[in-house]
Amino acid sequence: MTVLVDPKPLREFFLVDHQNHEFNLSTLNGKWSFLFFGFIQCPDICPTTLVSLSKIRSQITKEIIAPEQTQFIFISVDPKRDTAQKLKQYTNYFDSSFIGVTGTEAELHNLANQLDVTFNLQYKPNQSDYEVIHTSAVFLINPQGQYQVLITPPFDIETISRRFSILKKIDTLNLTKIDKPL
Amino acid sequence: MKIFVRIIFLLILSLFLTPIFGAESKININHPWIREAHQGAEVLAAYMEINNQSAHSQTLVGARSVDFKSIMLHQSMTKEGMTHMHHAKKIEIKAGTALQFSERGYHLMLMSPKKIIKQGDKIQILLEFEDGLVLATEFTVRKEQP
Repeated sequence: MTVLVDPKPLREFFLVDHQNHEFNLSTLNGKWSFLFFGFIQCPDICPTTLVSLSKIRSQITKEIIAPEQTQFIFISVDPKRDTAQKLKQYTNYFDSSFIGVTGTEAELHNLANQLDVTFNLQYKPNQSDYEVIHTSAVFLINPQGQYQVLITPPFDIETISRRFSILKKIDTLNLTKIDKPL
Repeated sequence: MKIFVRIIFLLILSLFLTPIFGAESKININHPWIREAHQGAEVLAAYMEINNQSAHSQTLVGARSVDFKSIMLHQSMTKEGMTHMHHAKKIEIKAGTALQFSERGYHLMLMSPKKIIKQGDKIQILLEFEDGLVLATEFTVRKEQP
């Protein structure tokens, strides 16, 4: 888990969630957002990560943060195969609060590049079966819409929850200082 | 006299059976499980430990099941933060060692299930080794690693 000393503000992006609603920079405001890039036909890494994220959510919403102050987002980098309907079924299986998101390849790259995420769809002519290479980390965006933490696997639920608790306290303190005039 | 003949017959029979089942019994498949997936999933993953207690290395070359259109041997690999799946043509398990098929590593990629696969189901998968040995193994469908 790497915390950026200077959180990186994100620029606007335009994606679509599993309910066909716009998913853009403003959707990240006011919440701690856990982002993971993957694809539905990924049998190992993606479900393993989403099970971990479900446990992290369960742990942190017990005592650290209210459920409505956080969101967990699965971003499919495979928009050709992963429709909104499929994303809904997929994310709901792991946690009914999870949000499935995708978009055009250009807009996916727009957000991915801001987080130093790389993905590559290895299309084969006339075949629906192709491999997708993607970053395996999880990205935590703070309520100000800034990229703040890189979480790399394997995911230790206890450690991540403990550090998230500290991070949230620091963020609250910083916001209090900004709000109070000197 | 009859008992004596039976004993001789069983002894002779055991001489023939030992080479067939002897090798097989020295490969143990431990904790075989399939990760349950969402409804409509087109691919699933299966995990296990292959413990090779035979005197020779054993090479897994394939797997099949009546419940899936096809099965591939796969390995998830992460390099410099990027993950991808490698299609392994064969996987060698050296003599006296155990190889883990586990999350973020080796796994069987189960493609196009022919029925709904849910937690608690038992799925038979035939594991095919290079020397012709085929091990019928029962995998339990689970939500998480046992």
